[in-house]
Amino acid sequence: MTEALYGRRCATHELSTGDLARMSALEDSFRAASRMESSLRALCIKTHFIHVTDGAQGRISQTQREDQIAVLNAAYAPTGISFAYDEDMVVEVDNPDFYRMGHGSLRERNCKTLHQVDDPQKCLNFYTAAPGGGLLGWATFPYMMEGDPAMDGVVMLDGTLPGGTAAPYNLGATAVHEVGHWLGLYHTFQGGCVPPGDDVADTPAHSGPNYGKPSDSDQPHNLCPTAPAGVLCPIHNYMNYVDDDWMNEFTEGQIERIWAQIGMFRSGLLTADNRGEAEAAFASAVSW
Amino acid sequence: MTGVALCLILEAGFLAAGEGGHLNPEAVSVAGTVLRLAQELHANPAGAELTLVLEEDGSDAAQALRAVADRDLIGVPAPAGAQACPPGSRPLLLSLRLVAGDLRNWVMGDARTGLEDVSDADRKLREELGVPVPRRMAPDHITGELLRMPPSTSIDTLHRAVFEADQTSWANLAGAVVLYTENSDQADGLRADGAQVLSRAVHLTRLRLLRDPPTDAVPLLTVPGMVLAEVPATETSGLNWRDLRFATLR
Repeated sequence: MTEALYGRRCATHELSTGDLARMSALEDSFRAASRMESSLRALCIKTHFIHVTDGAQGRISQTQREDQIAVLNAAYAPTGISFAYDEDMVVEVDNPDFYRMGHGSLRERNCKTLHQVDDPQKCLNFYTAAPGGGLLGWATFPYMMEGDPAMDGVVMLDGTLPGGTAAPYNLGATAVHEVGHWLGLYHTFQGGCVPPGDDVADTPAHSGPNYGKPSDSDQPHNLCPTAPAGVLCPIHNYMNYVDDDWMNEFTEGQIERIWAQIGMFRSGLLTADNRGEAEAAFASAVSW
Repeated sequence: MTGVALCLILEAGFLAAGEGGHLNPEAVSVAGTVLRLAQELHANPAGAELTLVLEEDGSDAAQALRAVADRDLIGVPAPAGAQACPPGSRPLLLSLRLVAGDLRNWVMGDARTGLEDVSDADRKLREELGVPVPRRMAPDHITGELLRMPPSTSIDTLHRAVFEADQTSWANLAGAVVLYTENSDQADGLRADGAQVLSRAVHLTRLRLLRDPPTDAVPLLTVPGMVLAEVPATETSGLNWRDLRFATLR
């Protein structure tokens, strides 16, 4: 069904790359070769929580998980993507070393290798831990999955889940941001003012991250000088670094990119089970 | 996998920018950050590769960096850095001036004023490589440990500390060397070597050197005529850590 949704796929052997220039060209050719009907874009991603703890430290309640899924669903509603989880599939890993795993560390690799819950091609592995160093979270990019599936997923500072201790980052938007990376989005300030930036046409380039709650009246903030008049710095975009309560938008261009990245690198998500009613609607809308 | 292979060339002049021929600690910090990233990429088969090449000109600065990072650096005589890059890698020159030709150039400051725009080197390189960028809290929310180093502390020790951990920096305040680190392992080691704890959890963005600290400030160190204190975020008098970072005040 993936092929039907997107049309004929590009040569997959060329797609395992993080090279921005090549990625951009590949995405353009993929879009040109595929039929991406926006009305048929619907997907429910199964989410497996893996809570790494040090005894009682790091424990996450059912309410927090439900609230996190609700925040993700509200944020991704415009994309046609939703998230669901099953309480029976939640895993708690009590390991003080893994609990303090750093980004890119051997601890991270060992933890993920031992405790990844499900096939990363078909679901999201959502880890919580306490990496320290002011880290809020990180994610793997879609292009990395084929070559290193064991590392696939997002790792979140436990205090960033709704109701956590990491204010002002405790409303669940950090997960929205990291899942954005997991679905192929870059920061809106990717590459600063040097093209291609984040490779999304409707997120104006800006020189670096915005923090806190940058004022709407102080626009254009750190927008690059090449921006046309009247364009605003994307200070409310989920892929910036502002506080949780200041993030509230994905652009149309970002939504386009997410679906192209799913088609190119995460087509395993597009199972009949994950697509549900959209799959049925698609089947009835297309004559074979 | 066919990820990005990047070759970062440290220009000899970059190492001594604005420092009268001495090794600039900002350059040491950047070199340490780059090498840690290169090691991380090497340990994880994500496809991206990073190589660091030092263009050596026999200067004191180049030799001082070698003393800190000898086993991790490829050294070649200046200006042949690009030729030492692995085949297929994309050379990127870290320098003080724009260089003509095919070489991509990352200009960070100049010889007179020193290094500028060196912040977030890790993030910028990760973006260039297309690899994941871990998200950090806003600087206002991050705390680290503040230590007073023993009087016998050498500049080599300070260079090594800066090289070994992101975010580590120091200031010499009238002979009292104060070091800030967010790396608890590093803090443990320095304490074991005689460093004195001034604060276990200080907000770097709220650290200021003032003549008359406000009543709600937390004084951490007194030097002749001045107090280093953690102050409310609204305080603007005196010098902040950005002014003090790697500076020597007499």
